[in-house]
Amino acid sequence: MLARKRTFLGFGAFLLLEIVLFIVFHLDKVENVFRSMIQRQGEAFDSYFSGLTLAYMVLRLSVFLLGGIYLTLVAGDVVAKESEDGNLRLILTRPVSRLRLLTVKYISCLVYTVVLIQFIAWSALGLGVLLRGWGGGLFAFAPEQEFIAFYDANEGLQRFALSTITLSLGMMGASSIAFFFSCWKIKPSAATITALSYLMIDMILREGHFMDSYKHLLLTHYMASWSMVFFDTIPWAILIRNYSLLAGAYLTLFVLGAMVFESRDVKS
Amino acid sequence: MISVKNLTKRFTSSRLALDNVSFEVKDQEIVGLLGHNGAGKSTVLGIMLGMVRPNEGEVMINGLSVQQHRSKALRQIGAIFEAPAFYDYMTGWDNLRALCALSGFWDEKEVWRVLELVGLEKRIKSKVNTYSHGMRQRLALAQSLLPEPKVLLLDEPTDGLDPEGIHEFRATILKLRAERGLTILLNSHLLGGIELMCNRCVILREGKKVYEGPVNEGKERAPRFALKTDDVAKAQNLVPAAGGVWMEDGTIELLPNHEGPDVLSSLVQGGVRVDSWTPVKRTLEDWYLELTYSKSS
Repeated sequence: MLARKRTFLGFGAFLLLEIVLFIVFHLDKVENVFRSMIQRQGEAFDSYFSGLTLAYMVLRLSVFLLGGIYLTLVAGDVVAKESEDGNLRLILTRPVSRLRLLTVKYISCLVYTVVLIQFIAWSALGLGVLLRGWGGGLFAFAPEQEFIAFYDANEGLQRFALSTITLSLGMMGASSIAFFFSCWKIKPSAATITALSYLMIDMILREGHFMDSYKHLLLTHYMASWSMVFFDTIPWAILIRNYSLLAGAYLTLFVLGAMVFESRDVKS
Repeated sequence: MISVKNLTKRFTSSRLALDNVSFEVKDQEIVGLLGHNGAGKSTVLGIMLGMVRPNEGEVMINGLSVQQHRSKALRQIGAIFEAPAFYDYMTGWDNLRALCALSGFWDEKEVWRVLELVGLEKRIKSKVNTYSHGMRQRLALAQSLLPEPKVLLLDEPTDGLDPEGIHEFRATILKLRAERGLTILLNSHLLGGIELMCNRCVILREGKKVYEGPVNEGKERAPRFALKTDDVAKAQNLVPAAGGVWMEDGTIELLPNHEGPDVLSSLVQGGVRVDSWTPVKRTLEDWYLELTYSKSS
């Protein structure tokens, strides 16, 4: 995985995006939007329009969509591309079980997910601190979850660090879905597109208010739990429940993918 | 060493790739697996490697069923299956390392020894996308020899190689068999190579086994001669009495206890004007084509 250039595309793309977003955040009109949001809550703009807040904005705006694309690209490739290129035929002449092979590949996808999310988060914070300096609190908000929160620098940093973990765990959903499709006898691009389509449809249904009663059936509902760590009182019970359900979903996807892969004939 | 029992494989409802194929490869034998394109040769190898699931039958490697204990059975096997696809963006060394790591083996000394045997030690640290076809085949052979298999399964290993490459590859295989006592199953289109390397051969036709036995057995037959004459009709009448049989292809096959000069003498004395009388040697190809086409009718 590390030898492929494609693996590093996501890192490059996000660095570029972060730079673009930071430029946009400093445009007068955009800054004024932040200013009005912060001041409406009775807080000082300069105290909370900080590197930490900008890093949080990068995560909120970009990780789900753009992160989803790069994670499904890498995970969709991991089995299907090797199958298409014939590498899998070579690997399976070795005394290695298909299950072991898949397990190693799946774990590498999960590790990649964590590494990418951590990179996005901490590079965004690094850029934010470069532009705005250290100090300044965190202004976190999510209209769909109906919360606005203000934290001082230290607590803000702790919450931000915690959110990188919950976001990593949540985004494993994108990798897991793409990995599942990658186990089928399909082209890698088909695995990526199918996974992305599933996530998009899931997200659209979640955003639609007519689906409120069925949100518990949607994967992205649980994936979106990452920002609960910014609530005044962190709902640990709900987080544990949601991430347990996600873990169950990931395991199911892996097992189903492995079953499909086990039943395949690997021959040109 | 290798026991193939009643293999049947159907890829689709209309396509029966293998139909009850059974054969054996004994310890330290080199057996050639022959057949036309689509005969089922690669399917047999695929089943031996556990990459293709048979509808019926199983393959035993040294008493271990590949279908039931694949990983364990494959520890004894080294294989080149179809066109081996390495990671082009990695070096040959890194490719070997990645492949060996999957099976929990890495011994640098042994790796260098194998690389010297296949003649790839100088270019092993270059990226595979800079390798020629011959070098890729040598890398494929190197990975199949790690770590120390007892059985080699080779699927068209000389495909795409030039004559020197083929000669070199053949010499390496024979050396391996001699030095390491390997048992080898070789799938190839090149009848000449099979004849030079193999003790026995198995021939498949449309998914069925049509022959299993010594390679040279097929070439042995009663002597034949090509007769060139204007008196064909007279010659055809005289041949049975002279001690021969007139064949469909116009040659004369001698009956037992009859010699060529004697039959020729009888024909000449019978008034046949002989322009030429030439012994006809049957090649492995002739035998193979006779066998496969006659079985199909």
